[in-house]
Amino acid sequence: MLLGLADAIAVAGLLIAIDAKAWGYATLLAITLVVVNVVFLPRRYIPLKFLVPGVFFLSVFALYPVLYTAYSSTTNYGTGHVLSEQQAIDQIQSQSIGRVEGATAYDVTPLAGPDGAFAGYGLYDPETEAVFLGTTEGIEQLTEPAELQVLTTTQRTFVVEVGDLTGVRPGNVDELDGYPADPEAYIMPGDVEGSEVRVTGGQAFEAGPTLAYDADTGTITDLETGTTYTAVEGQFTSADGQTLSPGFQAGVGFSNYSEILSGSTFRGAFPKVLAWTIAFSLLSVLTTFAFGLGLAMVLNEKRMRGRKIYRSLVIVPYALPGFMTALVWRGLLNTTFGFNRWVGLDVGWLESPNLARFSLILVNLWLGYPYMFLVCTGALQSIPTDLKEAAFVDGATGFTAFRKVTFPLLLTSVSPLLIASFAFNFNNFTIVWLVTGGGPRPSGETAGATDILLSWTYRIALDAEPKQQGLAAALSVVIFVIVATLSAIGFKYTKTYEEVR
Amino acid sequence: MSAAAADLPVTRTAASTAPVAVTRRRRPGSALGSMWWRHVIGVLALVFALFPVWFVLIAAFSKDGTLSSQTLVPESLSTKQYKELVDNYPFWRWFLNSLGISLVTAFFTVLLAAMAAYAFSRLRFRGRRSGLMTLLLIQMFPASLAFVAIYIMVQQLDSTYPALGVGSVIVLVLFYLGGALGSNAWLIKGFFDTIPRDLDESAQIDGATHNQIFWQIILPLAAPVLAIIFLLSFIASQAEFLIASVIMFGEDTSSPKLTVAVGLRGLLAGDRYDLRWGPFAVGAVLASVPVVLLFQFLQRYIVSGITAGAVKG
Repeated sequence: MLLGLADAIAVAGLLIAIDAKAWGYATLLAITLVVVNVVFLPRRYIPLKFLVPGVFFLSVFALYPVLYTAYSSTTNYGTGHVLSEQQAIDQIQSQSIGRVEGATAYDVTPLAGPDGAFAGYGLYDPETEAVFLGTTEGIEQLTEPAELQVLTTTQRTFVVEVGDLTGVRPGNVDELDGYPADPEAYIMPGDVEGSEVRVTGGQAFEAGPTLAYDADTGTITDLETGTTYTAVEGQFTSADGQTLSPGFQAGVGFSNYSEILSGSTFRGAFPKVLAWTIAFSLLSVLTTFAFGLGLAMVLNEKRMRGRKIYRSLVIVPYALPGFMTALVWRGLLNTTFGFNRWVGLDVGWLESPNLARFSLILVNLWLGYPYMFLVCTGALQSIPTDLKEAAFVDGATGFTAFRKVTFPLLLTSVSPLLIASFAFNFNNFTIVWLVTGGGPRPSGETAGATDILLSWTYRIALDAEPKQQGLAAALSVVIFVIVATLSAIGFKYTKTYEEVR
Repeated sequence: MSAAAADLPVTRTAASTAPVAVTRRRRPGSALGSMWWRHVIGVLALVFALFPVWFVLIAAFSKDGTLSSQTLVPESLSTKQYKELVDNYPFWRWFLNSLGISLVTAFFTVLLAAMAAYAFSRLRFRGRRSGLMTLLLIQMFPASLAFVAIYIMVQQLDSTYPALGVGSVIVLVLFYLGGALGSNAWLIKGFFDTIPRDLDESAQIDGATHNQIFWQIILPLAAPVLAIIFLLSFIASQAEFLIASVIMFGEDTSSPKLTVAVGLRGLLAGDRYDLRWGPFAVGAVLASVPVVLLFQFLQRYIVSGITAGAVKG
């Protein structure tokens, strides 16, 4: 029964994916659907039955986005490059519609039907003296004799009556039922494919696209000037550099990567942001660990009164949602209205680059030390007291005993957690984004003084103009590689520690 | 009314400092006198720890809701800021969104991870070891690193299926569940390993299937660790900001689709956020309630879990 439900959901997802033309996704879903049914229908493959549900979510909602990120990093997806090539061509053509050269200029009269409602426009061709009825369906010639009148003010021909239709004076159209609110948007398809008749200021012209797409050469030609636009990296561009909007998604190879590592806009920014990311994570781990360990040792004294109350209250920052306290700190650090006001300071905590960096570390210390405090308290209590006593018997002072006995033992048990904490802070987007927003940021630059790699990537993708998701995807891949390298080093390190233990 | 009410926020610090003072007065000059410096450090740490909390509590109950009028001692216990919040923003919708998202995510995270853990702990199959290693590797790469792809996918879905596009809680939960395995499966497997195998072997002899062993023997015995994973997952998805903001990109604070984290951040967006400080403070206090309650309830388990390697993040 559960399987039936899962199947139904998966099939729905598959149809959605096909409809959205997300072929990669559709294939993935189809494969999993087959696998799931092969696994669950017969009474074999027992291990897979337990693994498939989790692995399904893992692959569809975690691994696929990763692969898709890698793919996007080779495209120019972003502001002005969201559409597919065909969508972009359609938009460019429909935006280019103008009066066709030498096209007939009709005189226009709104016509009312026998029921008094708007029936369409009467179009009078001054050259052939024929009268046509123009509706959104098309244009047809009216063969009945028409009663015409030349208006003295405009010299245009007004259709008074034709068949059972009567002309309505321009001043009276407001009373006409069903009269288009915007007559210029009332498009009457013309005889020629793609052409249309539009109303402008009492006259109607046959209009058509002034840009023509040639599928054979893949170029767009301006019918009036003869300029040819060729697709270059997702943008139709003429020989002298003129471009047509919108652009479209196109593969750009590895140019996003070369932009990050050597491009002019990013020259200097990437190494700086990387350096701060590493400094931020290191300093965060060191300060929280030092503070947490110190506090754990201070409160790790059985004879101390009220120790339990201290212990349960110093971990309050850990019990609150981090996004909320980060925002509270943003208010506290406000130059004019925050903490400064009560102590009579005028320090721009978040305004100068170095102070903002300091403030960010301080806030992260506040958020992170309770965790280290808990870890260290647990680790300190697990160290056998006879080891310390033995050190004292051997004549060690308190500090020496700590340095030579307690600290190394402690480090052995907490070092994996320190490495995990470093990895966590390396991508600690929330605190950076909510406290400083990556700022202060010089205008015109994408990277601020406190931006870590991930917050910088976020700004490039979603918070800058133009948005450059392709470039951001390439940056994400770079972060992936860095995290993988650091983790590999970390793994090696923890393994040696485990051997010691 | 206001006098009695004004006492409310004060009780918190009173409770934290009073025993300290009492201790010092009761035993002056005794051998425990060497404790005084520990108390000094302890009190300083408490001030550091509680000051921001104190700060936001006062703002939540203040009459005048701007940051510039914020005081250090409570002057009123007004519900004006609460009214300001719920009148101008669909706060309770955000709250329910977050609660629902977190509950569903936590439930399925436990289920998916426990099933995988059962396979890794009780069954022997080809690729078991490499599967475990793969999980360990994958959990080092947070889903947030793929946010660009998630953004593009959601935007594309939005144009064909708006219900599954921008601001869809279903999609958000699905992406959260992408991270359900990883460290969770490892932790639960570790716990399953400690359950004696004799139990399931005797059940097997009695003719129980793996399904029955999993649901009726292993799961009930592993209830404590499952509860912890449930809560850690709940807390993590309550506080998650990046993926939520990517999926809700383009929605402003009038939208009922947001999560609490994205909504409250929206309240403080822009240069003059100090003017919306009061409503924000109320929202922040209310948003913390579920997490604080759960934390109190499970403090013991979380604390011991951390030393065993469970990371809240």
